[in-house]
Amino acid sequence: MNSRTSRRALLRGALGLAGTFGIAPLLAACQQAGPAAKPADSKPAETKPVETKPAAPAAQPAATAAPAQAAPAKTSGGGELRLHVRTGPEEDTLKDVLPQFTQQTGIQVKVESFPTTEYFTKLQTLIAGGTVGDVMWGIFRNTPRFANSKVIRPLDDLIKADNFDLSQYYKSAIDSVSYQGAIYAMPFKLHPGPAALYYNVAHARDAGVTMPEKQPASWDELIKIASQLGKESGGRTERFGMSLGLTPDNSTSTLQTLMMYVRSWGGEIYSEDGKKALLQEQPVKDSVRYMADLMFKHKVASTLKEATQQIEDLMITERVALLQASSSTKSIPTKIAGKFEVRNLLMPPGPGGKVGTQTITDHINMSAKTQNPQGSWELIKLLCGKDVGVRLGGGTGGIASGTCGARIDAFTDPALMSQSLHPIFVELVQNAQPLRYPANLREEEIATAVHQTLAPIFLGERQPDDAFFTELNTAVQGVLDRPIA
Amino acid sequence: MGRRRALEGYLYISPFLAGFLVFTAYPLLASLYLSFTNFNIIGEPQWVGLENYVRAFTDDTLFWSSLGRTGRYTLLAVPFGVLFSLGAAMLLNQGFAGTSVFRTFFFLPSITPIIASVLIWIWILQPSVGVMNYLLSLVGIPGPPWVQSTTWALPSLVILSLWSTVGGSRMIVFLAGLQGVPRELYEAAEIDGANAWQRFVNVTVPLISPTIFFNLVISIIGALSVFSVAYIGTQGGPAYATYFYVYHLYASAFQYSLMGYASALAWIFLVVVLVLTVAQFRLSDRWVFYAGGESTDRGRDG
Repeated sequence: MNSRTSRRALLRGALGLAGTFGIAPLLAACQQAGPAAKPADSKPAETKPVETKPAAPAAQPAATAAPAQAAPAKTSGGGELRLHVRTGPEEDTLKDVLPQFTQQTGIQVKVESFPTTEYFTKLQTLIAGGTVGDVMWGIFRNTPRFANSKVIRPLDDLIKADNFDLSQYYKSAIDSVSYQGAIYAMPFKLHPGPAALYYNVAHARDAGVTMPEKQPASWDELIKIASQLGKESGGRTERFGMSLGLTPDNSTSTLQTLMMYVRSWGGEIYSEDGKKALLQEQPVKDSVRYMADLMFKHKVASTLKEATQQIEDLMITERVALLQASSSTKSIPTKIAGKFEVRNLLMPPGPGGKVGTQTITDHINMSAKTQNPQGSWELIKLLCGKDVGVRLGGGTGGIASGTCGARIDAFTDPALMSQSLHPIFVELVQNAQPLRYPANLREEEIATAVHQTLAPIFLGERQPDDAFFTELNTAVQGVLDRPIA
Repeated sequence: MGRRRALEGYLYISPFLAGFLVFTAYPLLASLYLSFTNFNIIGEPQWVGLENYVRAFTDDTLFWSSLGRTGRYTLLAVPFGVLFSLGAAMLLNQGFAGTSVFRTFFFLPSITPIIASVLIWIWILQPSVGVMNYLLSLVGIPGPPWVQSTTWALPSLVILSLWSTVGGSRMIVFLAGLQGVPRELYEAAEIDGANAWQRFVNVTVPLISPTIFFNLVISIIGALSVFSVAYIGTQGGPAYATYFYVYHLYASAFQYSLMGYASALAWIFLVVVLVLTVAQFRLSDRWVFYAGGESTDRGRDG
């Protein structure tokens, strides 16, 4: 063999192989559901529920709060259930209560937990491989998808056989776990969206601002307060008056924040049937313009340029005095370790007289393949019971910690009500509006489209003119027009 | 005897073959099949023929925009990456004292976990509290918004990826190529009166042209496959400014559960990369010189 040829052939062969195998993982990855892990959590716990009754009125607490749930009945035979949850404070909370469950029922519970960022990829892989466990944690957007693919079973028969009192939960939360007339989950956690304003008490004192008792009376008053709380030094902003809680990479958070403002202006993002985008309507224009004005006209709010990957970073580093956020931020005292005191207020009522809210729930689903539906149901009742709900609401730090269980008696539990940051959420969840949901179940794609399209507005690179809203509406309608996911 | 030896050979490579068939060949073929289906991972695949391919070319604005953006990234990252790696390798090839220490320092970023390095760089480039803009402000330069700007986000990711790749395997390959250049050729050139630049252009570059070609092909494939920096650092934003082709593929597969469509995107990507690689091989005949062998310069050979 000619040595000249072999050298070239070797090089070509190496490059050919490198090329093939460089691409092969991409192709192979499309067959195997397993992406790379992402380190920075994007807070999927800030989740939204499925709207199940489009014409449903604003959620109200059930007429009567039922007594605390009884201990699960001891089932014969014992056995084992596999439970999928996220790692972190939720898993820690459950581990504390599961031994008691085993003692009462004789059923062992094997917890299989995955980090938040890869949870659904792993869960879907287990489902595709036919090895999913009996009971699984999920968020609002997965329940209809899983129900549609018959991955999870309806719980109506078990609820009926148990004579289980659903009025123990906020009605909006129960609505959120229903799909096509059946209940496919029980609500694990509930929050009303980013409708709270957390503030640094020392900053208010430093600025000589007397904060309102409950909420700013109007959007104008919010601008005034934020303006007073801001601080400049040498022409540089030392402290922003307010942060809208937007991050560069959390599309779910952006969608929820937009929803909060739009609903405060009396608008919606999609039609009741989830098929038509409403982002060219006046309430949407007014609310986005107000958000942009906070940043660039009144210069009282931080822009997307100052944002970091975690919404609380600016408050923790004392670069912002007021932070718009939801109930997971109740855990902020553990993150600041007593460095300063934090209190919270409601967002101001919008032009329609209401605070913009949304019923956002985490769910517990039962696998359609479980061999022990009765035992799984007992476990679901425990996970969605008062004790766990109160523990979750305790706000002991970590991702998505601080959001309470969805039972009325959990929300109003004296232990939580005595915490200074909790009480405002009771009123918010009582009045939380049901979330509208795209008919084709492509909510995550819509969140991405909204987040990416809005970014130039919050970076100050573009004006929210009519052409922008046409573009935004087209982007969302483009997703709504696709077939069911 | 020959047959027995052949069987032995197959036996020895059978562990690799088994792994290759199960973990590479089967998933590859499965993804080809899935690219013709509507598959949401948790349900059954439904045959849709060429619909996914048609949608990519005619009904997905993100397909073309992400492909174009990936091309722009490649045009920035590859020339700078190859030049800087070559420069670093040439520095290390000078034989200064402490070269091995510098080689270690240069190589360190490439073995730093990508997640850690991206997160640190995102903080460094944070417009209002990042170190980079603070340092620039000390010399009176107002820093740009870096990754939080539709204009600067893509160049920021190029800088970020250069940091982790310039001193990596590409530099080591260049170093090996440089050390393979016969010393006597430089001496002959010096005797002929060639200065340093002339020696570089007329001796070094031709003799390491196969190495340059190798690094170029590998770098282009790597740049076209850019994903991690955008996934970890920017989630494709702001305003899709770093939404690369493979990110689009990933989002379709694992965020939106459109596994059939994502498979079609992957196969289209394979074709694009293959076409570009074949084109490079064709063009290489004009400039790659294999020392000690037949010149590939057709013009010179007549």
